[in-house]
Amino acid sequence: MKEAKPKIKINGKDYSATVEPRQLLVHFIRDSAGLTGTHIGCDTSNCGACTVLLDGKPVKSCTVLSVQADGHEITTIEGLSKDGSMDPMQKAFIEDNGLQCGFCTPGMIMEANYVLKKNPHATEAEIRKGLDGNLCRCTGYVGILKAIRSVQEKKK
Amino acid sequence: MLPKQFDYYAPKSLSEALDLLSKKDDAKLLAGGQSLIPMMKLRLATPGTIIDISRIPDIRGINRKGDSVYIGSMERISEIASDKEVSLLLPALCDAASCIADTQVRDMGTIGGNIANADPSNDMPVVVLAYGAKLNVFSKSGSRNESSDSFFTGPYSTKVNSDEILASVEFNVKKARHGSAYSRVDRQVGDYALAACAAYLELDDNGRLSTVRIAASGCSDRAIRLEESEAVMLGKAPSKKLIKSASEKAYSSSKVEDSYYANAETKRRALSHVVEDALLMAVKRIR
Repeated sequence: MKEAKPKIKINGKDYSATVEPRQLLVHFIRDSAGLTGTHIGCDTSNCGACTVLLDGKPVKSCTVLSVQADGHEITTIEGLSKDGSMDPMQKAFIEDNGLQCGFCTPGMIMEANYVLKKNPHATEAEIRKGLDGNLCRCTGYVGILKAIRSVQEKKK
Repeated sequence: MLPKQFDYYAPKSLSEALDLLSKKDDAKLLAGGQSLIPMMKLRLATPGTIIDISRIPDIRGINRKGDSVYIGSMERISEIASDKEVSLLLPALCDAASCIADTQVRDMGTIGGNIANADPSNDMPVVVLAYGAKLNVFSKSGSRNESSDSFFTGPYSTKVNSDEILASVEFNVKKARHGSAYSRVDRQVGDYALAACAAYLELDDNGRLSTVRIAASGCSDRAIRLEESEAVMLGKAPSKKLIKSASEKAYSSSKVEDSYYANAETKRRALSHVVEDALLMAVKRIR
């Protein structure tokens, strides 16, 4: 078919739109659903600024077609704040200078939460490996690691 | 850039997918899309039709049946990397699955895609060669098992024809005492391997190596077995010295050339390092 009508649940809400099959998931999220917290950084599947959770697992939404996500569930950065209050990782990124320009930040936070969820006792090396798919040009990762470690500490 | 426009189908069965493949001239299969979609975004690939095989139940799953472990071609790399049975029975597969690209790519990428795409530096072909796995290929006329030794025919080229689908990979788990491992040197974080090696060793009752399979990437236009290094070790008792000579053989018999990402000497050294590393780990794991 030359046209598609994917139905995707994002942050608990159903969205559907008539799109070309070539539409990337990141464009469905940003343009069809109007959620612009997910960013497009590199267009070459390197930077991870477009990271969202697909059925709970982090993926680069610029490297997924909307049609691949048809019938699946997505969580974006907007889905982290419940009733207007930030989730612990978002708070930590602010308190520990985990961001400067903020462009990589939504993807970084989505991935950071997943790394700690999968391995609550991750070492610094394991956290860094988990963030292999997320590039930051501003911070040198120092504040990012600090923020993640502080969330890890608080959870203990 | 956006991919060029295409027609899209998401068949629910292998026969439906094969039927589509035979009818559409300019079609590509979409598994995880982590190689295909970046190529389409750069317009290095411009298929007129995309056949998404992610909704075919028969090609998923990790199943132990007797002496074999069957892994469906749509199985995601991250699932394979965290599967307990895989880590116990096929540790080189577990090692390799954990090093491909990054977390996000591993969550979408599939073992079938990594094998069938056959980029010369892909990780799964190396593992498949070392374990002597069988590749189960479906066509409209039926299915067949391809041996891994003859499966990889060149860069991006395998025995899967353009109207066929790689359905699953079969790993045979031997009863003999054996050990296996995977070692890899990266080009850069999240990138392809500069060199990688998977080693599979079997020990007989006299403590001598009865089977030696050493596969590598980064030294040819495809994953290959390092037959000269294997010959160095076969029939002998494993030792650090023996492993060193096998890795030195890999260095001296490597026919690599300079390329944009590394010169020949760097490639040779990386190769001999991963051969030594994989063999040492494989010996340590012999059980």
